[in-house]
Amino acid sequence: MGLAATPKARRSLCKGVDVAISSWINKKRDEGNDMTHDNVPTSRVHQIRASSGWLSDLSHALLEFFRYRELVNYLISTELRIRYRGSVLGFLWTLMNPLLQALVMWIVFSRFGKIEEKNYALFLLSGIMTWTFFSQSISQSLTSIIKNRQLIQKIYIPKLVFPIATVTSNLVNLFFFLVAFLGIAIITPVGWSTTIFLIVPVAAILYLMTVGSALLLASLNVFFRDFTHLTEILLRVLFYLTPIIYPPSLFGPEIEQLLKLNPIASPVLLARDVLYYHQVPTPELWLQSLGLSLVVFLGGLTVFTRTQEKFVYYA
Amino acid sequence: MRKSSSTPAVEVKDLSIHYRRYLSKHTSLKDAALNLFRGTQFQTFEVLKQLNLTIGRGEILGIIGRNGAGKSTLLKAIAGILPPAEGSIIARGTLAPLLELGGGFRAELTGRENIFFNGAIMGLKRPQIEARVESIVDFAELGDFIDSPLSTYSSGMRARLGFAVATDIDPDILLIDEVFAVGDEKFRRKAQERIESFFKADKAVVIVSHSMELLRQYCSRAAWLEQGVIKADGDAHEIIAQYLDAQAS
Repeated sequence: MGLAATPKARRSLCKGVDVAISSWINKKRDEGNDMTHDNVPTSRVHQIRASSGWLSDLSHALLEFFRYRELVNYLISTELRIRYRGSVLGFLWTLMNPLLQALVMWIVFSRFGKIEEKNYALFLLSGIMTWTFFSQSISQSLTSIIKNRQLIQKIYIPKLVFPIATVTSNLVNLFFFLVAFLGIAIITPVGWSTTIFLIVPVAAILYLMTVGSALLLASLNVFFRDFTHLTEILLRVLFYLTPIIYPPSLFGPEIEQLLKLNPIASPVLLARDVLYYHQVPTPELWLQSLGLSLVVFLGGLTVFTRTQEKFVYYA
Repeated sequence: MRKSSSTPAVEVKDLSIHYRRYLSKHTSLKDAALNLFRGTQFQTFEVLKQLNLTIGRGEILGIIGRNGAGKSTLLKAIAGILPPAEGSIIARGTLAPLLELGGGFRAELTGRENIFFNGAIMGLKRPQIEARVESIVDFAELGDFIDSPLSTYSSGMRARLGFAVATDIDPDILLIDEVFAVGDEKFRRKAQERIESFFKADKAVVIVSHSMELLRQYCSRAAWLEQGVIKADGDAHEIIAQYLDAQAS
């Protein structure tokens, strides 16, 4: 029997409600053997202690998240199901939002704006769908900890699962936006190109950036409820500071450089390159957006994991 | 043949848990900015103070004490819900916290979906949960209601499902916080039987209750908690007698 292994070797630094399979294994083990129970009877030892530095907080949170990945899957599927339960059109509503927004802006800005784009509607749409993914993910995950306060005050759950499940469920929406975009593009002169497949790495960068921002804002919002309101305003302003309805070159090269510091600007430009212009983005743009996304992601993750043990007391 | 003394199931070392009691209930940025100048506007309230406790396997420990002594907080800390301000907790084995039944339920989901959701919260894989669904539904006596949203349940149905979900595992450590009174008389007896079946096995059980009768019946050991520290710890009958004496005087 595997009882020869030292308890130390089988110890994992985990806390929380445990996987019942270990108890099942033990039951099996006990059935075949009623000798000694000297060793720790399960493969798990939950160890809970006060915070001990950001790196251990971070690695612990990631380990826990990985252990609860089934819960993340489940949260995503229920989130999607609940969102459309009882509505007749279901997923179509998700599509309506960016499509209508693009339509309205196309009517307004193609008439009054100074933007000269051959297919301005699709130019707009490529930016708006990227933006919609970002802004919807943020507004939904902003309250994800507070809304689940009932849960986290009653059961142990790694807190990372909430904002990450929310952002990931929005990834499904992004996929549908993409299908709609391609459907429209094919019947217009924009057409089709193989660069479209590059949307996969673009989406990965966008996802990293969005998760980072979501983690940062969700944790700040636990301590300062102002962020619920502040974020809505910031998103509104950020929309216009992002080259969505205009090309970044519109205000000259200096402003263009400034605009690119906005971490959501480069994913929008990347998406537009591969979907609308059908060109491979410059290495510079790739590197810049990857760099910014990583900074935002790691920053958000660090703030979240450093503050999460206080959530249960503040939420 | 079993040695239950060697490695304790639960070790609580120098555990302190702090609540913050805010003078104004919600914080805002404005408050935070003002607090920079005038000092923070909360009192730290120590619920548990440097608490030490070891629970061996096979032991049934009752925790007594007045309201606000920190009994439930202690259980929540062992369950991992409340992170400690100081100290550490080691729990060896599968934990089953029967703290607030149905605490992990979501009203929008059906009973069956909630079973899956709770299973996922406990860290179970989908096939493991599927294997448990039937026995949970049976035990909770919900019949066709199992596929209706939880928002249509009576409080008794919710509690029954909560109990069935929480106890349909084979835990090594069982934490019980006043959850004996579930459902009608018939269900209550069934629930009690299930809890008693846990007592017989080689498990560590911690019970928080105000019912001294119940604690005398089940517990081998009792710990008396007062203002966040253990005032007395030992044979259940003795400690309960001491506690009752102190309350009477």
